[in-house]
Amino acid sequence: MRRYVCAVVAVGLLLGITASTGQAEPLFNQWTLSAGGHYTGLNDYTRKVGEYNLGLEEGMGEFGLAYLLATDRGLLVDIDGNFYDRRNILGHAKYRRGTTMAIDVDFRSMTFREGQDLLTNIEAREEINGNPGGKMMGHEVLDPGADYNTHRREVLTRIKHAITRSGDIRFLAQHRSLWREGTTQMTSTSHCITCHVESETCTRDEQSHQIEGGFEADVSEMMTVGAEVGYRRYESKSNAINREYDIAGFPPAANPGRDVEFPSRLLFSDTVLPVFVLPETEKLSGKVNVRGRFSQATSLSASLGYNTTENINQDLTASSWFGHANLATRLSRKTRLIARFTGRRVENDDPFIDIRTFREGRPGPQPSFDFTRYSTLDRRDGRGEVEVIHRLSREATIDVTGGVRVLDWSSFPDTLEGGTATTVFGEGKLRYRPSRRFTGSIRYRAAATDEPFTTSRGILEPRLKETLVRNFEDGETVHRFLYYYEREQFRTVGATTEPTLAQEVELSASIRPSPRLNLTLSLLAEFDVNNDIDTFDVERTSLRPHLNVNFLPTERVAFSGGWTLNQMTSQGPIAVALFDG
Amino acid sequence: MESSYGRGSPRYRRCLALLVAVVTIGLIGGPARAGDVDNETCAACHEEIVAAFAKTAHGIYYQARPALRDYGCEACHGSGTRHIEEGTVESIINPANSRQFDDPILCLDCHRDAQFQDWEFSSHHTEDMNCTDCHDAHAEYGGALKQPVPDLCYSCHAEVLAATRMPSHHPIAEGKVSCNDCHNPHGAEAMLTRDIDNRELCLSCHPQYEGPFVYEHAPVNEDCMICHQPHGSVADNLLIYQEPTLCLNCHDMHFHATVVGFEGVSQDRLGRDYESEEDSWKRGMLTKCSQCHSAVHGTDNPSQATSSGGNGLTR
Repeated sequence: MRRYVCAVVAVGLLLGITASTGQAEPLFNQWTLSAGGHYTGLNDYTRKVGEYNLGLEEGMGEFGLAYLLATDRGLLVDIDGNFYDRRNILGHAKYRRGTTMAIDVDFRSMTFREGQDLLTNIEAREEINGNPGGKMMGHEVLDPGADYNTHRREVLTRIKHAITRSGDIRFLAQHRSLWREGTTQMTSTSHCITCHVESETCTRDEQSHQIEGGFEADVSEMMTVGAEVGYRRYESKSNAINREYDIAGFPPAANPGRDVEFPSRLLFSDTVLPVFVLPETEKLSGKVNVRGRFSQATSLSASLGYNTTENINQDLTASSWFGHANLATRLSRKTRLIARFTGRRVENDDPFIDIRTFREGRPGPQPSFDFTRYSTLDRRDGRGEVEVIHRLSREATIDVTGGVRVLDWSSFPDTLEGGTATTVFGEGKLRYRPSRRFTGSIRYRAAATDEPFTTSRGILEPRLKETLVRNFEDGETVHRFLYYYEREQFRTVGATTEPTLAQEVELSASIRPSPRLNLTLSLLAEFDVNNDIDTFDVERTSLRPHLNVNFLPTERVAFSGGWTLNQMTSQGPIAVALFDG
Repeated sequence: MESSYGRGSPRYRRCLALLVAVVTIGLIGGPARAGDVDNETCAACHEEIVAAFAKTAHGIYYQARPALRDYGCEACHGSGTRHIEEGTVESIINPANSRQFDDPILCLDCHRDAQFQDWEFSSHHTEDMNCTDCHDAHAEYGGALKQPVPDLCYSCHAEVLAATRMPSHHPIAEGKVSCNDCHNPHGAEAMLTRDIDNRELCLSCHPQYEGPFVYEHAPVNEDCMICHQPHGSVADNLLIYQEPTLCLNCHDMHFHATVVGFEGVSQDRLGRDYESEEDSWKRGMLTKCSQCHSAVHGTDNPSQATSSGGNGLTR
């Protein structure tokens, strides 16, 4: 229905505008209708290859319509649309009335197809002394052969209207709606008796609607200010899957007679619960900005904004302030300076999570796992850099950049090591352009981080042997059974594979022997190292040569060819476990 | 075939070009440097260019303004008096030669919309690019870009072209997504369209992952690029590596992967069959983490294990 509404609006706009042209003399008044067709065969078909097509074996007509009207009184109407198949449709309409009104409407419809994961790798049973042990994992696909796909539609409307005759003050408005409907594969896992993964078809029915409004005003010949506010609402009407969780109990062979303990290790058992519940969210945003010049040599651009997002289902809110300022100035006839600053502060609600008591009613430790969920969204993030560009000669420039980024998670109490990552970076670039036919450059960049990004709980375990001979509470050496939660607490906070030192070298050349032929060559090498903790040394090396050729024998014909190789080598302890298996 | 109707099509580029030309020129009242030499004089030597100019994006706008219609050449090329006297290339302003160390970019005198005002801070500008590297002011309406997007962008960013041909990719080659949907080639805020960072940009089209959720996955809050390569990837779902390699970059191996499997078929309490081999646990635990941790972007629903506080992101 909505597509027809859009079509009617577009046609109405077209007819209304055509009628309003009056006596204006058209510079362009042309219709273009195109027609074609395609056939999709499914020989050697894999769904992944056809992920943006319907994936049906069928022939289909294609149609395109374009209309262009331009008059000598500043009226412009430009409409075009294309129909590829019933889910792949694009349309665009543009209207201009001199300098006073500009309207753009885009419609986009596309499909996305997924393959089905048959989960066949999830089937195993433990062996104990040659017999079946207690640990089991299995899978069940409740909808074998399902064909998953989603249909995505978008309507985007942008309006700009000059409020004053001089055009100094402009009203801005935007509306955007997204719809996503279809089916997807959803898996859920029950840890009762066995670790059991079930796959079901889940319907998707999601919508997002956004409106924005604001203004721009030229406050002087050299300065423009603006403000905008926006509201976005996302909701999902997708059907949640109701998953039946079995009665929690130890696998019989491994732990006979201990059924009574197992339920307290799980938050729920012998119950039906929904999975795949997406929360409804609302987002409010506002932003003010100023752009312009102080003088012929100095430019400024700055903005300050605020937004808040609410998870309505859970009454959770995340809010942020953000801003940026850029300044560019000419220090001399041969030297430019650009300074860039950005800052952001994000604060998130911290809900309390009430968890049932572990091993309730049993002898031995009964730790509480209740916790306050502090959010990794919480942060203060500041970045500043200064770039100086100096012209060495008419053909060569040198560009030097230095800056610092400070990312502070100090409002996030689970971070044990101060929670501030400071990155100092620098870059140098020499570029040589002796003529319009050749451009070459060499660039080097280095960034050193004293505390790279890491999650709160720590993610890498020390070697198991070290774990077993320590008591995590008082440091005494013990050998005993370890619970899962104890393993988690042993994990090394602060270990991450993000680099402490990242370096890049890039060589690039662009050759244009004639206006119709262009050749680009480049080589990018990246070297990342993390030597934060001796036992977790990580190295990554990446090498990316690429070659691109463009040839335009005539204005209507273009040939392009490109080749890129991305060779990456990672060296770290984590891959050993994977490939050893 | 797909690109014939895509947002990267010539028609779409034409719209964008005229948006740039007509609106922005009009909003600030038009150039004011005309008046020394009229267009007819220019046409004496440059007949074809002047004749074709009326149907350019600039030309359409100039038609509505008599001063510009008659003296439009000088709006960009400055006074033609000296050029007529000397007849040399050096005696006339050529905007194509305007570079970053010259006076404020000529085109920006008119194109003062917000989307252009960060140009002087942008990477393209500091790379010494000029408006005319991408735009042709003398092309007929719709052809103000020298090539359609994305081909124009690919002529310099060949590595992006290669990425969009990977098995998993945003549908740029299919014409359903354009470079300009995410990037502002005239801008400075990380060269993105309008948002302050990558995450905000991604969430504008994928709002289902925004949250805030009760149970979070930290990198989702940090930057989508930690796990995803937006242009294209060998791995499914635009992941920078296939699972489980990607996950193992931050997480240690699931300890159940070390369990030795029973060789044969057995039943659980409910009578379900389990076919197992010696390496079955490795295969199950080291193939695809998201088979079980399906709510990897965050969820409000607790997972089952008490000891992890419901943090498993499995429902």
